[in-house]
Amino acid sequence: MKTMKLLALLGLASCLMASAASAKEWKTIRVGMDASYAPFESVDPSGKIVGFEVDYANALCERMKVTCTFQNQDWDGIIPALLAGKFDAIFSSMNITDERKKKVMFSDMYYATPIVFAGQASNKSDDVSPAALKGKTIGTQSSTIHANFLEAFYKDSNIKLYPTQDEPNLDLASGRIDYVVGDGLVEADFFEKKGNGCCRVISEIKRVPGIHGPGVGAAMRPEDAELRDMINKAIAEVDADGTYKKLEAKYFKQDIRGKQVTN
Amino acid sequence: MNWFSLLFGPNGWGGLMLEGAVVTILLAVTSVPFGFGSGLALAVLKLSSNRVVRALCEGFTTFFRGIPDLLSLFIVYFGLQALIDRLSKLFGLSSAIELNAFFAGVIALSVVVAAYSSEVWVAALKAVPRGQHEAAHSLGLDTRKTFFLVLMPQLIRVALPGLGNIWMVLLKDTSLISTLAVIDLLRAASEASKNTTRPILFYSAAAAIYLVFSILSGLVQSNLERRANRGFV
Repeated sequence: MKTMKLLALLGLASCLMASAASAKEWKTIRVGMDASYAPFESVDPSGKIVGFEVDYANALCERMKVTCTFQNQDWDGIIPALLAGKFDAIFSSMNITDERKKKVMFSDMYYATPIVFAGQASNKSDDVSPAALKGKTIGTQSSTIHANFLEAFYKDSNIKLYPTQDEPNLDLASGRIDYVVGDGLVEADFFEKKGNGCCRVISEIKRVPGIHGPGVGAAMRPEDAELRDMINKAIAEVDADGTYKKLEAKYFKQDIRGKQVTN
Repeated sequence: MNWFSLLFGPNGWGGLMLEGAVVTILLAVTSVPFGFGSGLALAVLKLSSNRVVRALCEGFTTFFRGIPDLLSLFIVYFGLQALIDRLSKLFGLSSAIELNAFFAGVIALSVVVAAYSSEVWVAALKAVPRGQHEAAHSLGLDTRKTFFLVLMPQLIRVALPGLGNIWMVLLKDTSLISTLAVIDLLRAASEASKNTTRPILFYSAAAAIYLVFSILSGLVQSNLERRANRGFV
């Protein structure tokens, strides 16, 4: 069913690519995110989307003197929904990759976090080489850099792809799969919530240039160059006046800014 | 945290789940009149003497019964939106009309329900004896009155069990809208379980609420059936 869903979305997306919007004045920016990626974006008990990227996008919008509205959108359909005009920008921990650049336009990078292998706490081996993980089951979210990474280097392992990152995490905790690849901070957040020392981060994965890209940026429709320039300017301003540091400290114990990359 | 405070505590997820349950019911209740109504219209057209009309209606039914309901939802949400955008550009409208996910859900579910229920209506229409039309005409009733006063009460009686079934399926199909990130009952349960890492608790709660809805629907249905059958032995 999932394949069908993707095919349908891709098919529709390609039809939609053709329709281009004319230059417009931005008063409201509708932000789309897959709110299943705490602490970056998640839904709170009142149904509101909260997290670092919500605060960050709001800070940018404040600089741009526009109103930001937030919409939840499943990861599988997030690029098609952007292209279909359901919202104007994706702030959803989307890594800037060459593959995605064929469809969307990215802002400057605004964060880069470590990518990690995680396993059960009872797993004492630190060896996560493709040879050591031969025949093991590794889970991660589909249509992500992690999925591409596993498919490129871990061909002899059993790769299981899920619609959100929460699902492989739950499956890891319940022992259904052996390893998870994901964002280091998201994994740490999940393991802390899960408690009882279910799982542990085993080791960091070095970013492979062609697969992982430099880090996370906001994605927009290719024709909205004006919006990208506005966002890039705001990104620089939020860095310069210390707002970024403040927001970062609210959510994380470590630096996530990474080094500047211009698109 | 224990299960009680996870559901009903100050930061509990019970509120979101109830809101989700309301969305689920609203979605089903909004879709059903359109679905059953256009299903009946479709059934009447399917029995028409015009071959083109018949073929078009059969084609519609075959298409929407043949593809997964989830795909119908995507066709409406993404496809119809694209069509609206094209049209509004064609007419030079500056701000495009946006199809929100709930409304897309109503359209998609109505279309699916129309396709399924048309078959039930066809069977019901065929079950009413020809003599009923003739008797109504001989009493001087026009076509409209014949349909609503004579045929309809008899149609309903035959169609109710089948329609009740479709309603139950619809009630559960509403959960497809959770893929469009609308917080319905299932989505609320999934958000809660993702955030608390306690899927069993929240999915069980959702199952219990769906069950309550189904049982209540069953009661309403048997009452309606009793009412529709009065006068028949």
